[in-house]
Amino acid sequence: MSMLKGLKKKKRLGLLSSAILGLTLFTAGCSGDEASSTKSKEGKSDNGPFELSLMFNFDGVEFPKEGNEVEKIIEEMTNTNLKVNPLPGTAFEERLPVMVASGEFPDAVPIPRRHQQYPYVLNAVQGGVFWEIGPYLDQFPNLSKINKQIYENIKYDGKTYGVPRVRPMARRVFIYRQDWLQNLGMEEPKTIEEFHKMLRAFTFDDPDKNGKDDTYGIVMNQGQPFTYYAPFFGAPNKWEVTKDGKFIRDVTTDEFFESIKFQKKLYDEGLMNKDFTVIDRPEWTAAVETGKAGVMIDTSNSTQNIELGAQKSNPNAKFSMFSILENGKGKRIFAEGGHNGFFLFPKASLETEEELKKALGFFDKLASEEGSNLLAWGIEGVHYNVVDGKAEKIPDTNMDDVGAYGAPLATLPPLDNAIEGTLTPLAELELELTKENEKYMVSDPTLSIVSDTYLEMGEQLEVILDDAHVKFIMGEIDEKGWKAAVEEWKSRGGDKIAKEYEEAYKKAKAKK
Amino acid sequence: MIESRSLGSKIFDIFNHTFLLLVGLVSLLPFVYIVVTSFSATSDLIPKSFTTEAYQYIFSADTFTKSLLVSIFVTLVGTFVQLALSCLMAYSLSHTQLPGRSFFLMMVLITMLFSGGMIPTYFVVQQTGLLNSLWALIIPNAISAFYLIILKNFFQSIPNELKESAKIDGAHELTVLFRIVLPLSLPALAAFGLFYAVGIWNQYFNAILYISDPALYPVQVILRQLIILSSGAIGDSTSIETIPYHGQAIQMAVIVVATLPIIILYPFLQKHFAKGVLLGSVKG
Repeated sequence: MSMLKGLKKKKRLGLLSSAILGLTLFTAGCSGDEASSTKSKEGKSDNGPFELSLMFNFDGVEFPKEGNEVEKIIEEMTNTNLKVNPLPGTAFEERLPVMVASGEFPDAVPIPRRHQQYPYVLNAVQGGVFWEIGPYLDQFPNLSKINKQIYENIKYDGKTYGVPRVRPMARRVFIYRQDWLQNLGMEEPKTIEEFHKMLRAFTFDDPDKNGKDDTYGIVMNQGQPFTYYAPFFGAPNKWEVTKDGKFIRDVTTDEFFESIKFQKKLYDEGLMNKDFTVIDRPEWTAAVETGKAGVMIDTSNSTQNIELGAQKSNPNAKFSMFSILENGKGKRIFAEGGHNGFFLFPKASLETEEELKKALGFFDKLASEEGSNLLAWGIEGVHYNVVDGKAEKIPDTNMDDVGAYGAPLATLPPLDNAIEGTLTPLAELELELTKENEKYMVSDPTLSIVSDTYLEMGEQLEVILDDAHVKFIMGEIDEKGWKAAVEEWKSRGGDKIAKEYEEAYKKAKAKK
Repeated sequence: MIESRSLGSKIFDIFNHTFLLLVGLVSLLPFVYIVVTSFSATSDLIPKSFTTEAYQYIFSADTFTKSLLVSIFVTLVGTFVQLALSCLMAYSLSHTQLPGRSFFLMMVLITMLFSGGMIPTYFVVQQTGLLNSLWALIIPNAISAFYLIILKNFFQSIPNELKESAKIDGAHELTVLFRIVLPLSLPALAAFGLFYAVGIWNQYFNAILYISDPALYPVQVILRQLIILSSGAIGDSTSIETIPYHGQAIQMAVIVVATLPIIILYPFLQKHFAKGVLLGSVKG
């Protein structure tokens, strides 16, 4: 027996060691080359191209192959050698915290708008992981052209770290079926009252002239915030700062309550979809594209796509949009951050000021006239021709490859610096609207100040308000119930959040 | 002589059948709806039009076909590796006289209850050089503690006399495992093989964390991307690509494509299931 045991032991050892050996062979043979960015940079001297590693989210099916025409042009223009790592949009957001924790950085880290105040970003910025770029900006003419307010919105502790991907500051629009409105012989609404009339007509007057009662006014989805009507009723944008520096939350105001009463009216009269709490994006856009609903609320750049989608099943579908409805409080619209995320520059991969300037230079060059033309119009001679100093698109050309680089890397809007050109009517309207809206913006004072309580539990507290909001619209609670929910929000942390904002606001003001 | 059944029993039967039929329909209808929607331009239960556009769109991307191959490869190799590792470990642990056995079992149990968390795990994968390789989809979750314990019990339930007699005939440990124990455990192996395969096939998050080379993405990552594209839920149309087709059909087609391979696998392993999974956990 003992001999047997000894034998067994040997065999077991043999087995174990062979297993381990096998494993090591596996792993050794198959580890891919890691894109570690801490390697010493090539192109440190001023003559060779600067090696720039980028990572960003790509929202498409296939990223253009390496060495494609667009990449070549960008590399030549900016004197860089690009190493691009495109990640699917979804993967990207989940990868970021891990990347920041592991310290393996590309040369520019795009932080999504929603992550601006996430703890992992805050901690990294406060821990000195990223360069403060404020002092260098004036060396870059195109980057310093960016609206100061937007830089203001993405400051940390009053200092500039990021280069924003600029978007219109106020671009919330009502997208509606223009051909329906014409069928009904109505005009684009200017006031809440006219808007209400339009929705009623869309619901009850057979706007699509098919003899069936199969349309309704406006479609909403579960992910949409409920503050769309608030500015027209005079409510603040999330928070209002009083003269003596007190912070007042929108939900505590009467104006806000008026705006949700209006939504309840739409719901009660059947002018909006009853299932707004459960449908998600595809069903929501489908409702408009298939001609069930006549209005939706989205960002101004979606209108074109919605129209294209609708014209697949109904070639006569025509869309248009407007932003502001008046209701005795003058023209008001809520401003957003004015950016879709921003780039931070890690010290781990850009070790010297020299390298930082080269990275900033890359973005600056992309925002120059030459770069803007590429991102806005494409490659000259392929996507557009210059006729009398204006860009003229060559029909039926595919801009996907340009978009794959342009969308994530453009900082200053390409149309700002590019030569003029012919745009589609909807794109023209979009430019006009977003410009017009800038005159009537109401901004959210808390964009660049931090409340720890909000970071910690703000999201959970919002749920109280959102729930109450939905219940009120659906008639499950009345005014008393709504007020009770607001009180609950205040007592469970809302008041504390307001206090923290007040202090942060004072501090930030003192610094200016 | 045929027994005439009472009226009550007949009524009961009718009810029973209707009820079971309803249950069956309730579980089948969502699938029918998914398949039908994926082939139609409208989202009704009764299709008005038949079209394969959604599928054409999905397969129009090279990346999709490539990722399908990646997924198939990882699933095949991964299932084999995971089963092999689980069997070897379970078999060792099934020996009651193994020194330190309770210690090892305790270690296994601990992993069932506690995990290091995402970032520490990421570091482990990074330091072992698995980043950006397909092994990152196979090795980190290679052995499921739960399946391991069930397998171990299964091996233990095989009569010791069998193993003993084999050893007396001069077989050594590995021969016993491969020639006696594993053939007797086929039902369990089939069951766990399927679980592992489904697990790897559906793997999404690990791929996102550990792989950055688009050529190595498994199919789930691409499918998720297609879904997001087709729903137009691109946070901020950073994409100029327009979807050529009704989004819902594409989503449904994606679901069909993603689940089909696993559904095809099922019937082949069905017969092992009835008696396979927990057999080892009950001694009798």
